[in-house]
Amino acid sequence: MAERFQGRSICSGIGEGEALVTQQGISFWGGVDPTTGTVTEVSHELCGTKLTDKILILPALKGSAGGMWIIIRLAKNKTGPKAIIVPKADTILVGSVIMAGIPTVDALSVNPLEVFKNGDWLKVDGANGTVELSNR
Amino acid sequence: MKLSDYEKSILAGDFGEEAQKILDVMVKIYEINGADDFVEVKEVMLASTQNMTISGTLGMDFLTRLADSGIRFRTKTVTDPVSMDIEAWQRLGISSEFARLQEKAIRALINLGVVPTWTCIPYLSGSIHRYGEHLAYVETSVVCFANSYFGARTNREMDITAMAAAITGRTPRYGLHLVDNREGQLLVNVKVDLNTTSDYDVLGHCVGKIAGTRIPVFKNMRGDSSTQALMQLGAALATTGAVPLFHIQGLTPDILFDPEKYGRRRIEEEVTITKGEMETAYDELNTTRSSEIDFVAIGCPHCTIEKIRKVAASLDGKRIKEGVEVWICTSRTMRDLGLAGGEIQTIEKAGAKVVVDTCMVNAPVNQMGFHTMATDSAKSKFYVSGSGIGVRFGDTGKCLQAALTGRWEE
Repeated sequence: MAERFQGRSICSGIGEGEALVTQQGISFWGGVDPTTGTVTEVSHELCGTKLTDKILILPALKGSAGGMWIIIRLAKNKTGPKAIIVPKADTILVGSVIMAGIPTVDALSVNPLEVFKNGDWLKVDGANGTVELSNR
Repeated sequence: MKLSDYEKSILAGDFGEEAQKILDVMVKIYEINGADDFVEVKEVMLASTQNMTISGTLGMDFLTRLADSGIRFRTKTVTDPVSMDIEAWQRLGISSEFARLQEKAIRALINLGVVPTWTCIPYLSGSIHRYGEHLAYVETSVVCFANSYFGARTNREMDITAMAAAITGRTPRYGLHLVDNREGQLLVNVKVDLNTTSDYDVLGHCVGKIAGTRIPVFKNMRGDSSTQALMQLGAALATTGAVPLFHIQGLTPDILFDPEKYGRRRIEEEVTITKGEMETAYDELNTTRSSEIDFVAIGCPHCTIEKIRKVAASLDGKRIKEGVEVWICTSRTMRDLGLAGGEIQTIEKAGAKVVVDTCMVNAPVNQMGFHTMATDSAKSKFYVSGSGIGVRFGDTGKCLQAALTGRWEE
């Protein structure tokens, strides 16, 4: 049975896929290759990992606001995540995901960085601000 | 949230997908920050086109489609540097392919209605503001300057939120538009003399790291604290930290207006900056021990006319060492003053290039084959060293000496 978590809508749309959780902020500008969707920041715990088709759960974006253009390119190339979940969205994240059209939810009743594990099957409904967890 | 008919029409897609998304972002920013109103914005400043150009044609196409949709900026909007000297890009070694892309972005921005200042010191081209006026700025050094020096009010915007303000003339009332969020949090006791403007760079580099996103309050600041010095301080603070505003006891307008509120009430930590901290910061700003200099770049932020005159006096009758590329970066406004006064001719005669519309941070210097740059700017050290060029940091005089000899004297 699926477990359902209520959060806040940041960007509408539905994204379903495998959870990829990182405890470290991601700098998309200079830290992610928009062609392959791979994290390239050498000191990042996800370095070498592909974000493609994942439900990306991260604490925040970091680095330059120019990261927005990389996120848009990822979405255009279909190499980006299917959806994004953050504890609390800031201006740069809001601007980036809306411009890229990536379903995004924040402010869940639980801490997404602790509750969700790599490989969990998640369905994010960006418009309603909900996340469904199944198949654990 | 009360939206105008015009805003509703944009949100409904009447002006295309680009403008619709820009306003979608504005609405969401309003909601997540719990704003209860909008503020009227007197001026907008967009970011450099650098991010848009380096990330392929996406940004340019976006701007072009936005301009073609018929949308026009209703609020006075000024612009940061682009990635080339618009008239003299060829002598900077920029490719024509790169220049074509830049020209496309420039044309779209002019069609949208910007005032083409192409500078990070728009306040010396007419962007002066009264205390308490609301702005929507992206360029981080100017956010710091406008908040701190004028006591105007702006958040650190991104391209999209600034464009929303340019289109609608307003921005959600949250963050630094609210006076209670402008109170100082980090008290900085400056126990060191500040002798040159570069000392303000070093101080900003040092304090930005400690402050993070917090608002510093400087006390016992002993130096001339000239406009040039405060420009350098703000630019450095906004580089190692995400500092949007600083207060200086007895000097900047918020803290003069209410010393208790801005200078004391919300202080959560006090730090002391001594010679030791300054020396550590100075070492960090020198990323290489190499003393062979092949690039000297002055003007981050862009040079004021005072600085141009100083550079001209130092180079008068002298000759730049062969093989050293020297950029004195400034705005068109300042360049025109320097042309009228003859300083620009003096600088060029010595073999240095007076560069407008761009700078070492925004032009593609990483593709020009430089090994070691000498600069007097902490901000430019951060961005240029990120692209693999070694950096030597020192005051303006020391950098110009390196321009004449090709060597960095320890």
